[in-house]
Amino acid sequence: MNGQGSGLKVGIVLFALVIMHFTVRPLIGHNDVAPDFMLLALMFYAIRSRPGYAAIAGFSIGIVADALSPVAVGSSALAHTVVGYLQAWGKAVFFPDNLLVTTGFLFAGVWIRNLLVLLAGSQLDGMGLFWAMGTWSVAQAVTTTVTGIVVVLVFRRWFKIEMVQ
Amino acid sequence: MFLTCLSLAAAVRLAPLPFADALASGIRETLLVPFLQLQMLTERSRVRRTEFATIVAQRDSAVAVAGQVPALEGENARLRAILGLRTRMSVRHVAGEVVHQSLPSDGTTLIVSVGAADGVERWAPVVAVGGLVGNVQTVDKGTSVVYTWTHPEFAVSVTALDERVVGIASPARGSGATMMLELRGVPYRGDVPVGTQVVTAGLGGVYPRGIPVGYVRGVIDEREGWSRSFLLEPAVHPAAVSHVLILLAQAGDLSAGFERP
Repeated sequence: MNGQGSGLKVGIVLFALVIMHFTVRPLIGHNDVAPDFMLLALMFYAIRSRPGYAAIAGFSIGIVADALSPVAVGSSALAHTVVGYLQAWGKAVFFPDNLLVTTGFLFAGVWIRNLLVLLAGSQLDGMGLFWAMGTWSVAQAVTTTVTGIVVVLVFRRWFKIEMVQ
Repeated sequence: MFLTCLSLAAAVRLAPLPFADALASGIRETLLVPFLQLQMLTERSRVRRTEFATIVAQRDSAVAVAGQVPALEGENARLRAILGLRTRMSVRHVAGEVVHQSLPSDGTTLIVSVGAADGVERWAPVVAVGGLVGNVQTVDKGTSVVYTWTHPEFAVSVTALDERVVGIASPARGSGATMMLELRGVPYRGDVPVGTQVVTAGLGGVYPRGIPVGYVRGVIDEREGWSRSFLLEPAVHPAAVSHVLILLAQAGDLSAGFERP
């Protein structure tokens, strides 16, 4: 398979994740815990691209998320930019084409995104922040990671992720 | 590129509120229109499926356990509570579905599936079955953004015990991450028993009188001889709301529209 064909297939999966964010997510359980498909799409894109492009993708998805939840417009753009950049940069330091590492990347990505959104938006502090990050954010990180792993397992040939370390 | 994006994001975050609102509104009314339509369709199909399941359950209940009238009455009461608010509401209003989002800030603002095309205007009060949700901050053509009572800038004049107690309710943090309300400015002599229902006072021109805001859970602050603050259990938890009513006209007293505890 050539690189262009592979990129197209990954692009289709990422677009499907964005669509699922608006169609499947509302049907899945509690809103605070349901997986974030859009962030998942960003993270899958980021670990396969250069940090600069990942930052642009993060900013774009973040500003869209800000428009959908306009409590502190810009906080989500900031958080997604950082997460996108870190995911792409982490690829150079760690070995991304591995299921275990991908699991860690996804979990950390969601948790850090939520932390940055709350901090940049000045929405919570002290115990409130501690509780939000220790409960709902962990739960959302787990569901998003599980969803991401399912996606990776189903499309592992397209994503070129190894099954073992 | 990273630093450029980061600077842009920071600039948007620090930009004046009208600019940030206009930017968010612009994105919602252009790029996000098809996606929001998709989400609204999903929400509607979910509601229809639930209604269908309820109807099937009622039919099955009626056939299988015709003798168990109390159980059917309970089911009926629950459904009436959902539909009843609409019929009891004496003021012109429009019903909307809440389109929940994935950020941890969801619940502080809500996107509702009705907008300017449905007659919604800025500052319109938003209520749900239990009581007050918040008010409309931004109106797009087909959607609206609601600031709920959990928003840091929220405040509403409230009253309790047949106007013997008047104060201001604003968001406060309960134990852990639970959002509660704080009733401030109650005169020191004005005691409010635990469990007392607190409703909007109708002052300030935004909220009509009589919409339940919360229930007193205890005293949280006392200024000796001066005033007391009370912790309120909210009447409505915005993150759990799926449908709301947006009031389209000024109203007098809406207390008859809500059930007393």
